[in-house]
Order: sequence, then structure tokens, then C-alpha cells
Amino acid sequence: MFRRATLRRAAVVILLCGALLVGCGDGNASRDSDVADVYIAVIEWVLAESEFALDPALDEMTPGYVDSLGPDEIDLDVQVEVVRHFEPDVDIRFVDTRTEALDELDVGAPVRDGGILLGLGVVPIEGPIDIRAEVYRTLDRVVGYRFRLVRSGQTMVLIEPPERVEPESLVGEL
Amino acid sequence: MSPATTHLSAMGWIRRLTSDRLDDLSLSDDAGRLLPVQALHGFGDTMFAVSLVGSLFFNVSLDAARPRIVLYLAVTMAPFLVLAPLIGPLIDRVRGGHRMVLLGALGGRALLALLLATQLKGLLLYPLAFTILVLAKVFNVSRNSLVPVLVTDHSLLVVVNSRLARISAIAGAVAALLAVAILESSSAEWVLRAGAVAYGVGALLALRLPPPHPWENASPIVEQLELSGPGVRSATLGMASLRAAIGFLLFHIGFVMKRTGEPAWLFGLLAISIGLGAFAGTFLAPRLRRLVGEQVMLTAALATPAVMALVTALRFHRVSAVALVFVVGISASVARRAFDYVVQTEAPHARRGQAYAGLETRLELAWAAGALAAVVSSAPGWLGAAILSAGLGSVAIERVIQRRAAVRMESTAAQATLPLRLLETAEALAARGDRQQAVLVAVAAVDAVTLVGAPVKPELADLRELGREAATDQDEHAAEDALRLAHQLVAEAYLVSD
Repeated sequence: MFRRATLRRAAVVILLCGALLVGCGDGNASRDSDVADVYIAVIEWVLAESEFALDPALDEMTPGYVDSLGPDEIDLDVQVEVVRHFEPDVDIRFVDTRTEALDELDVGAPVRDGGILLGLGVVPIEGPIDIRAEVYRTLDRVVGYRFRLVRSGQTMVLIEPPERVEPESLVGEL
Repeated sequence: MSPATTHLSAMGWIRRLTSDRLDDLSLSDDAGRLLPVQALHGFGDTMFAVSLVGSLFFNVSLDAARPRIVLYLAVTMAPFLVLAPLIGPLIDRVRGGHRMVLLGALGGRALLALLLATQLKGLLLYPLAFTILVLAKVFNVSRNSLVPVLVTDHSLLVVVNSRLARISAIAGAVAALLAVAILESSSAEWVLRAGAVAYGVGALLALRLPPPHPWENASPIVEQLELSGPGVRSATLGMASLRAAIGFLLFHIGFVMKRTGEPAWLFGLLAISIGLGAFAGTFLAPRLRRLVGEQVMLTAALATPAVMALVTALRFHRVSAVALVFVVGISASVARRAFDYVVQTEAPHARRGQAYAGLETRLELAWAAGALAAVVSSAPGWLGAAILSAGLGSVAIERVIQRRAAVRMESTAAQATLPLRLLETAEALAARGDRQQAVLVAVAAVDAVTLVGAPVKPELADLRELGREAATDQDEHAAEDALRLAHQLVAEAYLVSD
């Protein structure tokens, strides 16, 4: 019924698809998982213990917008792990541009829907885990922190309360 | 009012909306049985689209997700390269093959939607969502290939396609309301599960479709020649451009809205706009056809969104984006009706699914190419609209420039179809076993081709000799060779004239 050439073409396409799908698998899962654990620990502290802590009495999920403070974007696998960790209590949204998170037409350019914008620094590959983070609510309410963490079993934990530092990225014109 | 009366009046209302006032025909036609299948498919599609509001797509950054989206879009669309030669024979030659294809497309979507409901916030979202998208394209190709073989009368093609489009739009609107209600009261996962149920029921209803009407009298060569004629080719190019525009617009606006932090309800509004546009287009098309020809309708359907896209490019915001999507919805719907008119008029012998599958696959590939262009380019809102305007505008202008040539072609069309009709008669005679007459008519078909203006080939003498042998010596092999040679000469003449 089908010509041999057609079946051969179908087989080639299927093989190519399979090879591509296998090839797109993540080869750095362990590193991604470590980075995700660091970010989860930082975000948990900000949402629970910082001056930007969410009000647990609120029914609606408050969005927590997240952006990278480093030159590169945060890896997709890391983003997915973080989003899944906070689901369904907190709506974590990674953004490409900070304007995505802000209501710039409103006075003070607050974060949309009463949320917060978190800037997360690069997680060092080796040595002690020392990471910078900044939290933005409005133009005049931006705070910077320096976190020091260590792995404890399956999770990352803060060695000590974060040190407050001068915000650098999430201030001024975004 | 009793429930029975309410039910009847509701059915009457739906019937009024789905009937075509210009060609008010009863849908006792076999193709009418596709209506519930199409309605459930449209219902499931809207549920699937709305459920994506609660997906990972809105939680991760587009720059990070783009490589995966490009990869999955490319990978999942690759099977289209083999779709046409696989679906066609399944519909035409395998007993119940048309049911198998629709059952596979709808049943597959039902299963994948159930699986996706557990993965809306996971990385499996992309492969699952794109596979569902591919199966939607498989369904579209199969359905559009199936309509011509299910209609009892080829002149019903446009009416049936028009009704399928309307019922799909109505089902989509109902599904949109229901999906929002489920989303508010429960979660996106349950919206998807409701969509899976619709797909599943649609798959079961596809099993009740009647067998295709026999097409023994249709000649594959005549079909192919008709479908590759200048009118159909030009219409296919116009239609493919609009399909590419829809693919581009869907991903472009989706990305821009996400990037600018637009609320999720706006995506719902965009989905409703394109559905409303498509619905309005089914009413507008027959009225337009009374005023202008099909090819002019197609040109207008390309030019109108080009102008609207230009306006949107000059001032890109929510309202202009929604208006653009609505206009594209209307235009695509009008273009589809015009395309059906062209096929119905210029390819009256094309009945087999195989002939249509190739045509429809090209349209779906155009959609995928448009979508891929939007994802890869990642242009700002205004620039994407400008690209869209330039693309559609240039195709529309090219069609206007070629209009004079097209008019000339139309005037010779009646002459040009004579050889095809003769060739078809020859095939019918040969199929009945009357080879001598078949050869004589086939020789006449080749003569007719030379009358229309094709060059006289030396093989014509061979054909006459073979015809003489077949007639005088009752030589069956000579008759078969003569018929084959006649086909070849007619086909070559048409390809040269194209």
C-alpha cells in the first residue's frame, strides 16, 4: 500500500526526532539541582523571614517575580525546579526583562499584583556558597542581601542570617 | 417551557447558525456526521488552549525556554514530511482507514491531555503540548481530506466545510465559558481533563462515520493535474500565506504579551477574538462571493490583515492586538471558503483523500513555518506586526499584479479542461474493459492538448501507431501502452504550460 521510499522517509524522520529528543536532555542535572536548592533556600527566607515576607492570611497567591543578577539567564531546568517547589502556595515567575514584573504606569513603579521582584546572583561552582540577592517592591523600597549557605542533606540551609548590603542592580532606572 | 421544548429550540438555534443561507441544504449528507466530531474537537481545542494559562509557560523566562520551544516545534512538525503519503492511502485504500486516522488523532489527544494534566508545571509540558498540537494538525489534514470523499455531491464541499467551521466556532465559544468557570472554581488541570473527555467522545463518534464514497471513476492523473492547475496553485499559495500568518501571530503575540507582563485573561480574549473572527467569516464569505470572484476574495483576505497589521505596528497595544487577531480570524475564514470554492470549481474530479492530503499538509507546514519564524525572531510587538504586514501585503500585491495573467488563464480554462475530461472518459472506458474506444478517446485527448497550444511531440506518432495496433490487432498490451503514453503526453503538456 505504501511505497518503500515513503516508509524509508518515515523511518528517517522518526529516528531523527528520537535522536534530537535524546540529544536535548540535560547533561548537567546535578549542578542545576544544586543551584535550584540554593535559590529555593534564598526565596524561602525572603518570603518567610524578611521584611517582604508574605502575609499567610492572604488567600490569593502573591506573585514572586525572579530575575538573574548575573550576565546570563537562569537555566530553564533550575527555573522549573524552583517553580515546582513553591507550587501551589507561591506563584514564582521568572522574567526576561524587569519591566515584565513592574506596573510602570503606577506611582513608584510597584511590582504587579502586590508581589515582589527578586534578583538572584550567580551561584559559585566551587568553594563556599556565597550569593547576592536583591528584593524590589517599589522604586524606593529595594533591599540587598548577601547569603551564605551550606548543604545539609537534601537541602541548602543558611549558615547565618543574611547580611544587608547596598542594592546595585534593582535600583534607579530598571 | 418544558425541557424538551427548550432542547428543541436550542437545537433550532444552533441549526440556524450552522446552516448556510445561500445553500440551505439538509445535512443528511454523510459528511454531516462529521459535525459532532468537529464540534467536540473544537471544544477540546479551546479547553486545551485555556488550560495553558495555568502552565509552566507563564512561570519561566522566554529566553530560557526559547531553545526548547524551537526544538520541539521543529521536531514535532517534522512528521508532516511523511503525513501526506501516509494519511492519503489510509483514507482511500484501507477499509475503515478514515476512522482509524481520526480515532488516532482524537484518541491520542485525549490520552496526551490526561498526561499533560499531571505535567502542566513540568518540563514535559513542551513535548506533550507540541505533540497535542501535531495531532490537531493531523486531525485537520485528515478531516479536510475526508470531506471530499464523504460528500455525495462535490458541489456540497463548500457548504459542508462552512458548517464544520461554524459548529467548531460555536463549540469553542461554549468551551471557553465552561473553561473559565472551571479555572475559577478548580484548576487548569481540570480544564484539561474536561478537554480530554471531549476528545475521547469525539474519537468514539469518529467510529460511526460512514465509509467513503467510491471513487473508481476518478482518474488520479486528472485529479493531480486539476489540483496542480494555476488557479488551485495560486489559491494554495494565498491560503498557505494566511496559515503561516496565523502561526506567526499566535506565537508572536503570546511571547510579546508574556514579555510585557500582560494578564492571563488577555490570552483568553485573544483566543475568543480569533474564534469570533472565524465564525463571522463563514457568514461574510458567501456574501462576498456574490460580489467578487474567489481569487479576489483571497486577495482581499490577504490585504485586509496586512493593512490591520500595519496599523497595529504603528500603535501596538492590547486593543490593536486583539483587533488584529480578530481581523486575521475573519480573513482566514473567508480565505478558506474561497479556497474551497476554487478547489470545487477548478478540481471537480478531485475526490480522493490522497489528493487532498498533500494540499492540506502544505497548509499545515506553512503554519508551522510561521510559528517557528516568530519564536526564532522574537521580535518586539510592533516589529512583528510590521513583518506580518509586509509578508501578507507582498503576497497580496503579487496576486494583484498577476491578476491580468490569471484572467487570461481563466478564459482558456474551459479549453484547457477538455483534454482532461477526454482522458478521464478514456480511463472510465478502459476500466469497463472497452480498450479500443479508450485508446481512441485517449488519442483525442492528446490531440486536444495540441489544439490548446502544446507543442506537437514526436511521441504523438508512436501513440497513433499504438492506437492503430490496438484497434486493428486487438492487442491489449498495445492498448495499455497507448493509454500510458497518452497520460504521459497530457501530463507533460500541462506541466509545460504551468
